[in-house]
Amino acid sequence: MSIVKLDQVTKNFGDVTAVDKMSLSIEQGEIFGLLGPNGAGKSTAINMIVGLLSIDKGTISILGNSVKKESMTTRSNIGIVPQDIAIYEDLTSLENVKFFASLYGLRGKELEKAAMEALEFTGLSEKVKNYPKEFSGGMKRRLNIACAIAHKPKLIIMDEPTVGIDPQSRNHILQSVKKLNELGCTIIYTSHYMEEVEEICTRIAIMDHGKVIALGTNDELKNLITDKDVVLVTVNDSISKVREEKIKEIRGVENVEIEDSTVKISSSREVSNLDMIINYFTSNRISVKSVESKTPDLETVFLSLTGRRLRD
Amino acid sequence: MKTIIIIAKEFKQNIRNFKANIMMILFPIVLIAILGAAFSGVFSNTIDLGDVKVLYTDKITQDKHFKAVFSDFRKSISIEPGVQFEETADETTGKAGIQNSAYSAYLIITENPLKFELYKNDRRGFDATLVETALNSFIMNYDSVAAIAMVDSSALEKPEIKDFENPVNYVQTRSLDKKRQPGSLDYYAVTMLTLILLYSSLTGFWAIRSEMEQKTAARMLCAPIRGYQLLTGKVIGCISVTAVQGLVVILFSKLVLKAYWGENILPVALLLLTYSIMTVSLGVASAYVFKSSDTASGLLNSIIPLLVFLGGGYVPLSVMGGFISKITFLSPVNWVNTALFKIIYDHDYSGMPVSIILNLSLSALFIFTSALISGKGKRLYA
Repeated sequence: MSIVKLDQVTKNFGDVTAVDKMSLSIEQGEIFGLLGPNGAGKSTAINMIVGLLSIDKGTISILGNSVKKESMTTRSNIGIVPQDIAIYEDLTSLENVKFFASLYGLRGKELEKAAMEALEFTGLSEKVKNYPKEFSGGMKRRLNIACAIAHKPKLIIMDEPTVGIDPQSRNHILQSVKKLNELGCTIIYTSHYMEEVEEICTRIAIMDHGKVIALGTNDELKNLITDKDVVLVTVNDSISKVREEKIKEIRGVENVEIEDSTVKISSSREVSNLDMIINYFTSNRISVKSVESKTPDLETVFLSLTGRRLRD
Repeated sequence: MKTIIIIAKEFKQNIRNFKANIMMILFPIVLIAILGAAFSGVFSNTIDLGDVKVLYTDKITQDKHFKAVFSDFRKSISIEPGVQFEETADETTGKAGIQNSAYSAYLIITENPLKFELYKNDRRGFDATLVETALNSFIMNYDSVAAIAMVDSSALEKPEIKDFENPVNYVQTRSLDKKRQPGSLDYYAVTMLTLILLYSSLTGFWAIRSEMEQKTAARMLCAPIRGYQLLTGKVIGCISVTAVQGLVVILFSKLVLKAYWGENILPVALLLLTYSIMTVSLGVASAYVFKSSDTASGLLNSIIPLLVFLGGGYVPLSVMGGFISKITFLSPVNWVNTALFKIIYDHDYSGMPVSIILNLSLSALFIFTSALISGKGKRLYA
């Protein structure tokens, strides 16, 4: 059953079309990844789903209820984890969670219990009386999540929930997302971090210029670009000796990227050119440390589909 | 219920804001105390005469009746207004007493004909004028009685003439306005409170703007809550905390500084409440109307002192003249201060309805503007 359904949704800001005839159906129990560079239309789409932005054309429904006509019902089923940490510095963590949960109708002991559970879930049960100003960035991010889940929403929207935090907190958040999903929540997850999306999302939509340009599971998306081979060559010598333009002259090579001491070369699968690539390095007296054939990742998929990197 | 939740949250946040409480409570109390003390002389309607000393040389040798009457005059004037006469036979000593400012006046009385010669000390002008006035009064009385005696001496025995001959009060100083007037502390207790309540517009402003800047507004608007519940909760929350802060200032000024707030505090409180609604609403509307926090808060911080000045917050309206006195009506602080002083000191409630209607009308305008902008453009979340 669809928990979220977008049908030909369009949103304009003046002459700019932020979301263009977007259609999408998210099923209950999914962790749905929404990928796209800045300005792709992800945030606009999310803001229309949660009712913060009006819909110019098309319809959005949540659990069969129209966001436009039954906004109070649809909003009561959603928990939002905004990209910017949205908590009150002058309220304790418990007060923060209780306040937001009370806006969803929770009262008394039920409210207290739900707030404590949310804080426990996010690993903040020891900090109930502490103010967020005493928290690290990761702890604030976790409190940001606790405020979104206390009322036990059926749909949780997480907009870049791991931006700017330490690996330990990021790992905690990713585990929390999986656990929430196991508990029955449907999650819409946006991130710039491909590895996060690959790790937790059951289905992914790639957006660009307000449109969904690809949709499917991780494997389905990678299969979209099975015509590509990626070779990673790590060198011992100074990377400055490597000339990208010379590698691009090799038959079949479509793209070359250099990162630290590794050269990432994407080639057409139809052309066998590994010997020519190795020959380039040896003939130019560049000492090669390792050669690795890499299966394409979502970054490669995105690059292939849009011609741009995700963080451009 | 959701409105109440927002009111409670707003109240809690504001009451925990140490800096804001210092500004809203301590600041006006300190100003009341300082300005009240500094301008106490300006507001005083009584004059402390202190010691008024007069030297006199009496050269009357024959007219015993005059001597008796003049003695009575000296006695009575020593009681009220408290002029002390000292006799000296030496005119040089008398005049020296004036020159060295030891005495306020020097009087020489000679006979055949009866003559009063008064030397006044310019450095004690008020005291000397008082003595002169009293003396003139005495002379007029004495001349009248003498004139009657020349016509019919038996008439002097009549009680009304005897009373006239020996009036008890030669000088009576009475304020033209017998109603209670505000002293400096009383005045600044009112005006500093209305000043600080105008600053509560910043409370309203930041109540909205902080939600935008902390991004919590978006989170709230994602919840099943209606825009009017949010706006109402915010405004009432700010008014509640402002009311508590104002109450603390009133109680402190009344109980500790002994400022006078009238015999009936209820109409005063009602007027101040509507004024607070207006000031908070002004701040809320500013948060929606202006995109930049700096522009809005800068504008409020500039306008507030001007409105307070025009409302007689810093100096009484009575000392303002010319063009300024003609534009004081533009300040809502003026309507409120004027109405408050009328209530407190004259028991005159005529200014109250107009002031309340103006406060509530402006509040409605500000809230309507806020609702319009927040509803249309989702400015709260943007």
